[in-house]
Formats: sequence, C-alpha cells, structure tokens
Amino acid sequence: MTKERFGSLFLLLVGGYALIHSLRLPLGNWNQPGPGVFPLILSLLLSAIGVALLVSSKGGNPFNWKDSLSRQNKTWAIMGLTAGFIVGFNRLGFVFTSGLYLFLLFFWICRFRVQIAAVLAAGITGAGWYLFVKILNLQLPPGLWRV
Amino acid sequence: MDAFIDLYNGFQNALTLHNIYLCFLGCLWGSMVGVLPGIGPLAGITLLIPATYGLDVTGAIIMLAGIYYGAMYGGSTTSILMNIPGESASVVTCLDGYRMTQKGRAGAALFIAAFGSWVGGTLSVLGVMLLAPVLANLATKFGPTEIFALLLVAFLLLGSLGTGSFLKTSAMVILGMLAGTVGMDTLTGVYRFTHGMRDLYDGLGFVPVAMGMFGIGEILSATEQSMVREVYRPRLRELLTNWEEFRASIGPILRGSGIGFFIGLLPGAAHILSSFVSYTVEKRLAKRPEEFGHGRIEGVAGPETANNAATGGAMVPFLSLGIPTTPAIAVIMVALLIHGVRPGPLFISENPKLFWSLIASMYLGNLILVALNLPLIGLFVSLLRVPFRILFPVVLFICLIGTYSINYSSFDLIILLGFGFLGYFFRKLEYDLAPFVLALIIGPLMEEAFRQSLMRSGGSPSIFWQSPIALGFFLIAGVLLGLNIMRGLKSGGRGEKEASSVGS
Repeated sequence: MTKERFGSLFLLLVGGYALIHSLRLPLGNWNQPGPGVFPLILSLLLSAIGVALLVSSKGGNPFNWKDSLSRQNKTWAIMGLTAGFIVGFNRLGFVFTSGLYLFLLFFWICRFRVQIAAVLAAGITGAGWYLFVKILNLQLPPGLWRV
Repeated sequence: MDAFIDLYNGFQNALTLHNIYLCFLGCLWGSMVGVLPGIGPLAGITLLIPATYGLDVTGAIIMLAGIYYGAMYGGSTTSILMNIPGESASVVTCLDGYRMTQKGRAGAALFIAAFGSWVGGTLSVLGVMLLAPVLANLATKFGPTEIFALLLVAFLLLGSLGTGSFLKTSAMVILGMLAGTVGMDTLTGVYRFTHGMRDLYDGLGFVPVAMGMFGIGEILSATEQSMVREVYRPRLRELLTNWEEFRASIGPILRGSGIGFFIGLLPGAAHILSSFVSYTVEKRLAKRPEEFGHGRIEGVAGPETANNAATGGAMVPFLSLGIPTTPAIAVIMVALLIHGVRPGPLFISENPKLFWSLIASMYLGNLILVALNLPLIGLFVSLLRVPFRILFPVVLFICLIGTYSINYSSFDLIILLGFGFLGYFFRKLEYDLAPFVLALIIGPLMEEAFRQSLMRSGGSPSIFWQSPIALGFFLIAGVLLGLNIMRGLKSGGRGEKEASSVGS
C-alpha cells in the first residue's frame, strides 16, 4: 500500500468516527445550532478530502513498509519507556522515575556502557531536580521516598 | 506622534534591569534552541512557560518573544556551518551559506546573516508598531460574522501557502479543528468526544498536543537517522565581510525586510515562504543568477533577513486580531492566557503598557542578538558537538517535565505521548503538522463565531453576505478555493505527488 492511500484511509476512518459521534450530539436548528453541527460539517469535509486523496493516490509513492518497520525498533522502545515513565511518575516520584528512565534510555537505546549511562542519568536527574524544584519551584511528585 | 510617546514609555518599562535580564535570557535561550536541530522555538518557548509563573505578564512576554525571534537568528548558524538547517526557515540559507563555508567565507556568511537579521528584525518591529494599532482599531468593528469570514480566509491561506499539498494541508486543518471540539461545548455545556473521561472535559491541552507533535514526534523521527555531524569552527577575526560583499548585501537586506514583514502577516509557513521568495527575487535580480547556489552572499543576506522580518509580521495579526499564525506564536498566546491576558482587538487599548513594552523590548532584543550571536559563535558551535545520543534523552525528559508542570497532570503526559506518536506518523506520511496545531487553537473561535452569527440572524444564513467586510473576506476565500481547485485539476495526481514531495 502506498503512503498516500494509507493516509487517505486514516482520514476516512477518523472522518467516519467523528461523523457517527457528532450525529449522536444535539444538532439543534438554524436558529440555535447545536453542539453537533460543527463537528458534523468537519467530519463530512474530512471524509470528502479522504475520498479525494484516495482517488488521486493511484500510482503514488511506493512505500517500503518492511524496511520502515525494521528501523522502528528504537521508536517503539522509546514509546514503551516513556509510557513506563508516565505510569511510574506519580507513584514512584520524580527523582526515581526520571533516573531510571534516563538510565534505560542511555543504556538500552543509546548503547552507552552501564557506568556511563548511570553517571549521565544521575547527573541529568540531579540537574533537573535543581532546575525544576529548586529554581523554578515546581511541585513534582516526591514518591515513596519523599525526595 | 502619540505612538512615539507610547514607545518612549515602553522603553522606560523595558529598560529596567529586570526586563533587560529577561530579554537577554530569552534571546540566549532562543539562539540555543535555534542552533540545535530538532528543538525549535515551539519547544523552547513551552519549556520556559513554567519559569514565567513567578513573573509579571510584561516580563513573561518579553522573555517568550525573545525566544521566538532568537530562534530565527540561531537557525542560520547550522545552515551555514553544517548544511543542516537549525530551523525550517533556514533551509534556503544552506544553498549558498554552506558553499561559502566550503570556500573559507563562513565568517562573512555568519556576519551578514546576523546583520541582515538585525536590520530585518528592527524594521519589522517598526512595521508592528505602526500597523498593529491600526488593524486592532479596525478589528473592533468586527462581529462574529466578520471573524468567521476572516478565519476562513486564514485557513484557506494556510492550505494554499503551506509546505504540503492543498488537500493534505486542509485535512490537517480539519483534523486540528476536530481536535479543538473535544471537551465541553462553551455555548450549551454538552460534552463532545470525551467518552466519559473527566480529564477531557476541558478539552485537549494545547501544550501537550503541540509538544507531542513537534517535540516527541521530531525525536522519534530523528532516532531513525544517523546524526553524525561535521562542524566547522570559525574564528572571531574571520567574522568580517569585505566591502564588496557588504555592498552586495544591502539591497537583498532591504528587500528581504519588506518581503519578510508582509509575508509574515499571512498564516502558515510564512517564515519558510518568506525566505524562499526572497531567494527567488534575489536570483531574478542578479546579474549572474547562475552563481546562486555556489556561494553568493546575496543568497544568505536576503533569506536570513526575510525570515527574521517575518517574526515581526507574525506579531501583527496575533496582537491586533488574536490570531496566532505560527505554532510558536500560539504557545506565546497560551502563556498570555495563563497570565490572564487575551490578545485581540482590545489588547492594545486595554494593555498599552504591555504592548509598548513588548515593542521596545523587541528593538532591544534585536540588538542583544547581534551582540550575542557574533562573539558567542564558538559557544553555539560547541553546542552542536554534543552527541545526539546524549541530547535526545535530555530533550525527552525536559518535554515530559515541562508538559507535566503546566497542569500537574499525568493525563497531559498521556496526551503528549499519544500526539507524539501521531506527529511521527504524520511525518512518515508527509503531512504538514503546523496547520493541525494552529487549527486546534483557532478552531474553537471559528465555531463560536459561526454559531453566534446564526443565532444573531435568527437562523438566516444571509448574515454572512450582509456585512461588506465579511462579504469581502468570503470573496477572497472563494477566489483562493477556486484557484486551488483549478491548480488541482490542472496538475491532477502528478501535481499532488510533486507537492507532497516538496512538503517532505
């Protein structure tokens, strides 16, 4: 499948979802347009553009999905680590979660040696704590260890 | 005359030690984020929003505006020294700037880029000073119908002048507007697209969406590419042009100032467009156009002046109409809203001290940037030597904490990650991201104007063509739409492909 076709199908999917949802909202009348009117118009326009792009995408740029996916290991790993950071941030606190997150990024994704990754993670977490908590006075979660 | 008295008062306020310090801080940070590829003014401004909480609104906007125009200054450095544009607006500068570096004239290219940026920036502030109050006065006569028509023109211009194809850019505008409808409807109190999630009742936050799409999305894309860099380090004594180069640059700098300012008034990719237009104009006017692309100083002077003048131009619709024309300006708008100030037609009359202090600080900031960028070029070049594999975890970390600190909400982090992936996905599909982010912030205004117009007229759509101003805007919108349809029909699928390849 070409990039153009994939993109237009995505637009049609979002347009279809928005259309169904906006039809469930009150549409009102011309005097008092309801909350569903604007999303309804937008979803119809989006679907129309999706169709136009789909029709015009004949013979578009060929896209090597297999090659692209093989280069996305790092992307998925970063996404996964960041999701872990979000889950742990409030529970485990700023210092612990940030330190662990940065260590894993440096060690696993950036391929630094374990000692260097640990030093970098500790240094950046410490500098971040000083900047955000001490200088900018942000109220970041202290976590289990009340740091 | 009144304008100059107001400007004098603005200088009195901007020239306090505290505000000079904030302006300097903004310019320094802006230059740094401009130099580093991947961290643009949007991320640079967002990261410093929490730092403005303790500041008065004048200090906050002085600092944030400093980052915005500072990033444009910094963007040229990497283009000239490494052939990597620090900012998308500096793409054109690579063509002749890097060739000058290869010929041993990097210092001259950097000097003329800084000098042109200063002239362009300063002249554009003069334009803001003269044009913004006039436009704001005119805009006070605007009702919801005129606002709706104006925003429609803005969106069509965004589609027409964007870096991608018209259809793709329009799709991004509509997607952004749809994202803007999430949350409670302000007119009826009905929740839309929330699926019972309380965190969505106030809608999608602008900062997590913008930071996700531009910050996280950019990093996810960049980690797939090799980031090995060769950096040339010029010496301070090399930073002088010879008389011939300087003389050849005067015309492009003056023309670039005008081109940049007027294109900057338009929504969308004004910075990129202004530098492209300036380059084209200079090439057309040149006696030996075939030398462009081989290290002509005019190819650096014109575009660099134009993209800096465009920052001033972009301030006019923002301050006088409340319409942000670039994502970075939209973040400044969010910061102002956090401080309880809403840009729009009444902004200048209600906040004259703030407006004139900002104008005065922009004159000052442009001077600071010249003083900062030339002697500290070595420091900025050193920044480029930080390996990307150290830089990107730091940027990710700062994006996460910066976003969390806006509302202290973990849900914002989920939005950040989700839209980060979406930004990465759209980059892969070669869709322009800026229209989405702009539509997210302008879309709700457009919906409100549309519905209020119909309510005012008792449901009669004739209200849209009864006002001469609105009718004028609708005619412009019709012409723009017609031109784009004709262009699409003429070029067919081939044009579509060409346009999308330019966008990528």
